This record gives sequence, structure tokens and C-alpha cells, in this order.
Amino acid sequence: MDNSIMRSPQIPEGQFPRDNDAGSLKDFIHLLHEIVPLLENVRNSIEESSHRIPKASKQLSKVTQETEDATVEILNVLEGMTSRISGAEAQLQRLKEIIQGSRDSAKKMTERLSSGSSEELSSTELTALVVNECLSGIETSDAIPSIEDVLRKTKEDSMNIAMALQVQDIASQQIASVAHTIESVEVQLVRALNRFENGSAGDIANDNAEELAAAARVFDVEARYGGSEERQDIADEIVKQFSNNK
Amino acid sequence: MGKFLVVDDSLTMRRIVVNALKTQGFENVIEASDGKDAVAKVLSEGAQFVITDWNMPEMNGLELAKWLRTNPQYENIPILMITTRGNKDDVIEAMKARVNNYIVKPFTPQGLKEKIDQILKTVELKSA
Repeated sequence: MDNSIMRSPQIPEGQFPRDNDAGSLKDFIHLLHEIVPLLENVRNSIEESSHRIPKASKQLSKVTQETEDATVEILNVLEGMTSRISGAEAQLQRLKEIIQGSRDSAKKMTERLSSGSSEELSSTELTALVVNECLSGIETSDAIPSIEDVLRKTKEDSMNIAMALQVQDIASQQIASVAHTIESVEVQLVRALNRFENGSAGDIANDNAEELAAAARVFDVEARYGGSEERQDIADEIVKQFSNNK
Repeated sequence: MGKFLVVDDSLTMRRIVVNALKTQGFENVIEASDGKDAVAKVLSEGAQFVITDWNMPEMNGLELAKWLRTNPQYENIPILMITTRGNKDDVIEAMKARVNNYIVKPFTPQGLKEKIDQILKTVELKSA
């Protein structure tokens, strides 16, 4: 008996035995039937997401604009307050000068009285003398220094509130950074969609990528409100080194 | 002191810096919203002191500093950079672009005054 007849036929690598061809094709078609709707779902999801992203980005931009508007309104109020406080300080200074002037006059009149020429003082002058004595009481009390102190502290507080509003600029940079990340995802989604439909990423995605690169100039990814003292110390040290090397 | 030019794309920051300057007696202040606008203002209105942000559209603060330093008419104009960028490399890059001093946001009015005084003192010493 010829042993070669009993041996299994040699199957070239990568080929199925002919008996299994029909079954494999059937499996492949079945797989395609399952994959195509899945891919369609993926495509729809990408399309939907890519439509939602510009809206999200626009909303973030609106948040930035509205907080800037509100911050400007607060700054307007603070500037008005500071201006009124400065006005009150000026008026208080004027009042102090009037009191001082009146006291100087009173002092002169007191000298005339003590020199025994009180009969020479008119009733108006005597009234002024009494009023001036009252004013000297005001001047020596702590009323005016207290008011000055309150005005100074209120002015400092309003200045500190204004300075704290720098948080708006820093927050807007953080928001811009998030928006940039979202828009970068959108570019990738548009590329994926184009590949689905046309087989290439397409010009729109490239144009968007250029726009994104330009937008990235406007913000600092690492912008933060806290810890500026330590970073300022580092900056001061570098500035000092450069100044010494000049 | 002459005219200050405050450059920042944030309206909030411009208002804050301008107010801080005015509180310290520097009344003559003009504003620009980015580097390009600042160049136009320098050319049309002039300025003796520039306070600029770094991250801005069109032309950023670093590019503005480089433009000023390569222009003979403005190469000695004092430049103070006020920015959120506080990394060592950022400060070195700014100093290489020959800004005179550097403030990390958020700043304080005292910090601003200190830096302006330091710059003015150096400028006076140079011109003396």
C-alpha cells in the first residue's frame, strides 16, 4: 500500500481546506453583519459628539465673557467707592485745617484776654472764642483720627478686593485651556469622521488644528491663583542674577 | 515720570493695573489689548514705560519686548512683565528678551510699586 495516499494533504500556509471555505465565508459575512451596525453606531456617536463640542466650547466662552462683565461692574463700584473715600478724606483734611485755623485765632484772643484787654473784644469775637474752645475739644478728641482710620482701612479693603479680582483673568485662562482641550478632541473626531467617509483626515481638520495652535497663544496652561509668592521669589532670584551679570 | 503703556488682552487686568498705577500717583497711563496694538500705540502716542502681559493674541508680550529692543528708538524703554507664567524657564526667556523686571500674577500694589521703583532707579543710575 502506498503510504503517500494515507498521508494528509499538504495545505499551503494561509489557506483553508476547501471543505471549510463555505463555512468560513459564512462566518465572515455574519461578522460583517454584526460589525457594520456597530461601526455605524460609532460613526453616529462621533458625529453627535463633534456637534456637541462647539456648543460646549461656546458655553465656556460665554462663561468667561459674563464673568469679565461682572468683574468690570464690581471694579466700577470699587472705583466709585475709592473715589468717594478720597473725597471724604479731602473734606476731613479741610475740616482739620478749619479747626486748626480757628484754634490759632482763639489762641490769639486768649492772649488778648489774658493781657487784660477783654473789654476790647466784641460780642462776636467772644462768641467765636467759645466756638473755638468747642472746636479744640473736637480736635483733641479721637473722633477725627478714628474717622481717618476707618476711611484708610476701607480704601485698603476696596483696593484688596480689586486686586483679588485678578482671579477672573486667571480663571479665564484655565477655562480657555479646558476649551482648547475640548476643541482638540473635536479636531480628532472630525478627522475620524472624515476617515470614515472619505478615507482621509481632510482639510477642515487641518484648518481647525491651525486655529487651535493660534488659540493656544492666548492662555497659560499652568495659570493658577495660589502660590504666586514662591514663584515670585524664584523670578526675583533670576532677575537678580541677570542684573548682576550685566 | 512719563507715560505708562499697559498691555493686556484681559480688560479686568488692564483696569486693575491702571488703578494700581493711579493710586501710586502715576496718572499718565494708556492701554493696549495685545502686542500689535501696543506697537501701534507706541508709534502713535509714545510711551516711557511698558507694563505687559505675556500670553496675548496677535503679538504676545515676549514678541513685543523683542520688537522694542530691536528698535533703536525704544531699545532702552523700561519693560515690566506681569504674567501668570512663573516657571524658571519662562522667567529666563523673558530676561533674555531683555525685559527689566518680572511679576507673577496675582500681584500686589506693593509688589508693583517695588518693581517700578527698582526699574526707575536702575534707569536713573544708567542715565546719570
